[in-house]
Amino acid sequence: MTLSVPRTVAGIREAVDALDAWSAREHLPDEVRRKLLTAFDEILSNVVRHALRDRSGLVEIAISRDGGLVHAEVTDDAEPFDPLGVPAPDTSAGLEARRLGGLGIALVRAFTDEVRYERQSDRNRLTMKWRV
Amino acid sequence: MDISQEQLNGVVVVAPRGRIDSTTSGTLEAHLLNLSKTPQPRIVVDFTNVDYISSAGLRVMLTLAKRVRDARGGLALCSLGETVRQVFELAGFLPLFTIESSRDVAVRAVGER
Repeated sequence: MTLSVPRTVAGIREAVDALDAWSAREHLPDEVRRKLLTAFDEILSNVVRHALRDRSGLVEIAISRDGGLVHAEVTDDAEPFDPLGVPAPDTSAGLEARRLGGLGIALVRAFTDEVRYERQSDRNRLTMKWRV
Repeated sequence: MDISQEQLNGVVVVAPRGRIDSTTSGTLEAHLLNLSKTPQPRIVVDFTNVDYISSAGLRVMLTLAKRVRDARGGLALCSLGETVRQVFELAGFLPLFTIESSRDVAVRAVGER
């Protein structure tokens, strides 16, 4: 399945709804479906946050299943941004000192079996894989 | 996002339904922060019908915890599914919250404060 959505919150909702329906069609186990949708929410909300100056662009999503492997790609033509370069958060601070920056990417790393970023032909390309 | 709510022994039990992500967390945040404005708020968030939570939802829970503490109230979470619990664990959130197995236990925990 491929789809293009605007770099807005409405675009994220459209993408997650479509990915949820795709997961059901592919009979993905619930655990994989939840991890996949969580990872997509983190990645897409990152794209939207980093594209504040240009909301006119689109995010392209491609996802497919080949037997026991789900393979997804998220690409956009916004400024170069490597979400995986964000430092890991401090998860030990108390309530007052707790900062959440980097937490979304930590969840993506934990909830995918493989994740990779590359800048290719003036586009950001994030690849994620899940074993089913 | 659908949010149901009931009062049990002076405790407000809030039960969101579906995803708590970047597209729904604003609605949940407005709802919960409004509740936390009462004096000494006693709140239980029941996760029974929550499909999953992303970092946008964690941000809401952290803000709520701070508000409730500042207002000298009580907050407990209950009935976290496996994926939700895993997210709380990865985020290092487990020590920051009172997390109970059921709504009844959570209501008792908050009511006793």
